[in-house]
Amino acid sequence: MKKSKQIIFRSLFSNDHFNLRAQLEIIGLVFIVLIVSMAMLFYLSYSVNHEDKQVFKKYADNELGMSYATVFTKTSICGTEMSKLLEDCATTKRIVCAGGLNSCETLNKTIIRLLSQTLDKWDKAYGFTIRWTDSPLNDDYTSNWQVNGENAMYFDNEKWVYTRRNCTEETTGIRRAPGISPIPLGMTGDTITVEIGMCAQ
Amino acid sequence: MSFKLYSRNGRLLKHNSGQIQLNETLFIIIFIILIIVFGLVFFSQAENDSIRTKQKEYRQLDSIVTTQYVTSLTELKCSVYGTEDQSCFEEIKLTAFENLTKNDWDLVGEYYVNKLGTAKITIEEIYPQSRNWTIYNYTGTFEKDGVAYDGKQTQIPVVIWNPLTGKRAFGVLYLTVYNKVI
Repeated sequence: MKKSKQIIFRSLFSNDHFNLRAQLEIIGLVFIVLIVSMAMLFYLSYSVNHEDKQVFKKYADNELGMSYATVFTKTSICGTEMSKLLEDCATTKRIVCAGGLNSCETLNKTIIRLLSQTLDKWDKAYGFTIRWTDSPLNDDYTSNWQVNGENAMYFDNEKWVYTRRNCTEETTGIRRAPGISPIPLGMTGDTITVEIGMCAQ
Repeated sequence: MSFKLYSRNGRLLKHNSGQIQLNETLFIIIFIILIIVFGLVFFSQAENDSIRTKQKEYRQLDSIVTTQYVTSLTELKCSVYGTEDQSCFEEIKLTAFENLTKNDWDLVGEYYVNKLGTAKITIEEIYPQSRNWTIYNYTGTFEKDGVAYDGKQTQIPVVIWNPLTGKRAFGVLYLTVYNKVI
């Protein structure tokens, strides 16, 4: 009787039986590893797909750029509008403002004041550009507009461009769609455009 | 009558098969329960995050709606012969509205609290002068419910037009919309 029991247990714990159990356990382990891997994959895909869309920031930046350009050109200055002063600066420079400053000097002074009290104060990264397309070169403007290092006046294929700060890839990333306010230059067909765009941060 | 386990060489094993299998089953059950609990915790956390993200998005959309409403307030906008001007507020209307808010809040609050909720709206003239108008400031329920609020300020440049002199000043509309922090 005792012998027969021993035989039964020997057969139960024979090599084949152990191999089968081991294989089943390995399958179970693989199954668990698969479940854990799938959970990790799910978590990763979830966290990647759920980035903050910054809906309001995009809207606020676009609205800010657009309104800034429009309001800037409409503001009264020197008994006229900013757009007229820009036109005068680009053409005849006949308008003389307070302190005996001409239109270009007044514009530059006002732009610096406005930006320092608004976008600079709010710590916004932006690009401010006034562009006159198809204009003749005029060296006089360079001395008037370049007041400090931040301002830049450069000529590019007979067009002048005034910039005050700009978006760079290293610091502020890509510029959002800028607010543009075009000013037609009399009967010449030329246009001065005021562009203000916030940098995507 | 109890069974005893023997190894191949006939030596008596210390534990019987039932005990081993019971331990194994227990271990597997505990492990599976742990996995299920871990999964449930993760799933609830993910669901919670998803709700928070959605809530943030809706709050942002609400802020956009409020901003659009404020910038198109007919009560304050410049108008000449019924034609409204974009991004322009009349100086006289601003002063009148501010006085109304200060002196008759019940009247203003009754209508505008439903439209603007908890918010603060200030218009500041930047150029040529420096002055400001606070046309709306409602933080009424803040102290009552003891819930934390956060405010995000939005700046929108506006023209401040004086219809008497015809001059247009450069101004900024500051809108702070307060939201419950959840």
